[in-house]
Amino acid sequence: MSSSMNEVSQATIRLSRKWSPEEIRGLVDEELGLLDPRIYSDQDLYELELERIFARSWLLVCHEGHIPNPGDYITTYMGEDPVIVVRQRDRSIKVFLNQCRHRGMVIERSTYGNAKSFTCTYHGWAYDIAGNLVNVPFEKEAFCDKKEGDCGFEKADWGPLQARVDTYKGLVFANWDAKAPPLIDYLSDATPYMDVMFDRTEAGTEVITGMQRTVIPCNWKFAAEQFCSDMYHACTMSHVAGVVSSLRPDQDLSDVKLPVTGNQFRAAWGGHGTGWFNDDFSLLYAIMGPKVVDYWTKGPAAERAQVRLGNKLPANRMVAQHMTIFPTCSFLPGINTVRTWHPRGPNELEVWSFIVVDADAPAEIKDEYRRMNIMTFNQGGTYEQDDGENWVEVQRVLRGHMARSRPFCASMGVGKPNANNPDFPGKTSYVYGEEAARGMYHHWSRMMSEPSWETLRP
Amino acid sequence: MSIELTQPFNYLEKPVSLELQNAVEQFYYREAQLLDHRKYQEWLTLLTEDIHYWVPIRTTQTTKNSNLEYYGPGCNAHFDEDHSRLTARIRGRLSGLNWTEDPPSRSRHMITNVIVREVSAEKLEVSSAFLCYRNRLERMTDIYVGERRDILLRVNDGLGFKIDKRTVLLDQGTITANNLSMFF
Repeated sequence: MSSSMNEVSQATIRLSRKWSPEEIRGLVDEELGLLDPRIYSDQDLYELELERIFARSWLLVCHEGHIPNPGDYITTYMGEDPVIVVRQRDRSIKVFLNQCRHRGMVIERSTYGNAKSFTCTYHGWAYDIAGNLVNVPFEKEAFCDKKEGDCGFEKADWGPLQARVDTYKGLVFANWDAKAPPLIDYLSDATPYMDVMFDRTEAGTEVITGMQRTVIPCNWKFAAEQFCSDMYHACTMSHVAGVVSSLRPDQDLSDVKLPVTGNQFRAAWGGHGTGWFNDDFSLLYAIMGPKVVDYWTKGPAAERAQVRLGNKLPANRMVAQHMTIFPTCSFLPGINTVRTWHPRGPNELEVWSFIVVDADAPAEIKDEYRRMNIMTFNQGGTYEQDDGENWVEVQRVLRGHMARSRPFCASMGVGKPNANNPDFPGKTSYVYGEEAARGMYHHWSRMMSEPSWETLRP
Repeated sequence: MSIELTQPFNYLEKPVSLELQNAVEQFYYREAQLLDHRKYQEWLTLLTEDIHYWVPIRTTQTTKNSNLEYYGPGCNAHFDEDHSRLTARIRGRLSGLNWTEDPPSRSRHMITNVIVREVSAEKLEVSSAFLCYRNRLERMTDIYVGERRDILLRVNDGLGFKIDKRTVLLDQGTITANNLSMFF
């Protein structure tokens, strides 16, 4: 046995008895924009997702600011697999399965903290902060009474499974699959759109302490797709109460003119997507209030951001942007909430959300971001609370046979003449569109039906 | 992060008078009625202009690290509201467009374990336990349980007290309800 036992050299891809690759590809009709609702409700498809998507994709585990010092850790998840994310003494980050290799007990049960080592509370196997097994109680007496290297039991073989780790502009991603493309390739041509939020200043972003964790009984793809592709819900029906909450006392809804011009971006590869309004900041003012929006759009910080980002895209014209990095990393630039949608079966997800701010923003701006996120885009927020209501009801209806028997319509923008906006890089279309959703489901279908990175890779 | 929240409420050896105890409990029962009957504007009148309504996020920690359990002041929180933000929330709630509470939930706030400490003639510190049952639509059901730590100020009108500060210690780390649309 060698230490490679702790590494995942290649994701295990089994053939599904229920779903052949052809059948999986038939669930998503990209040309017509049709989605088979069973993608949200089928238990077998979900099991395949854990294996083919969540064990092979780069998943957001936290922000670097969650673990600033050596030994700082958080416990989180990659798909349904619990992991420990730990800052090392050399500033690198390790992510390993939160499962003792002896008999499978969780190694660390606290939400976060600082550790010198991790000791399993079942039989006391102890791991250092890099995940090396360093102490086994009664090792000599119970496992081996011969000299080291000569007894068939080597501690080096029995560390927890290690994930690959990489960061992008402060965001920490991990991936189980050694064959998956590097993070920067995986992000494809979506990075300029991420930079609008995470690279406005050389100082980068810092995280506001505190992760909110909540449960929503719906499929993870409803949430991921909405942040990827759905501005439509925001300015039609879903969030009108949020807008009403944000009105000045002397205003009513008739005083609000919601923006109508904007774009959506579909990544060239990978299922990532984003959308935004152009130039009209009224919606962002309605969500975040003048203090935050003035900071984001006017004054020296905004000017510096535009100088920094402007050679890639006109960030200063983009309003109320939503974005998903496939599969489950979502965020809202300007509002500055970030979240991972951890899957919990086909019918449930957990939202793990946090807030970031420009690291060099004034203290009062940082605090205003915090307060406005709590007010609008956390689980009690005036905007976000109405999202869960929709997703939960859609999920409940999908228990029905007939409800699952006809495709959902994701055809906004299908067959329209190319509407690329030359001001923005990559493939873009109208803000009220579903091109990014089709991109997300196309990539979902590929990952679910193609076992090899030889065909899948960018 | 916030050690004081992990400490028990600092109650007096000798309970306050029955009269005061009763007055505070009656205030809470009436407040609960307002919330359960969705009289949000009336509920707002029970809060002072300086109200701080705070629901910190809890985490799971060993006893040794219990000082890390709560994300303290200045951190992300479930709620961290002043009067203007609570007023704004209620304006949205009453718009008829707040789909997560329209059709409205059927809720019941139960308030028990009321411990009163007189800080001064005008000011009380009160700890109470609550159980908030919420059922909506056909069978969506959530139960929120926790402790409230209030600063109450005596007033001559209304229900006799106003809430100047409320810290809600929800007995959950991961919130299992699909939203936090209730006030506690």
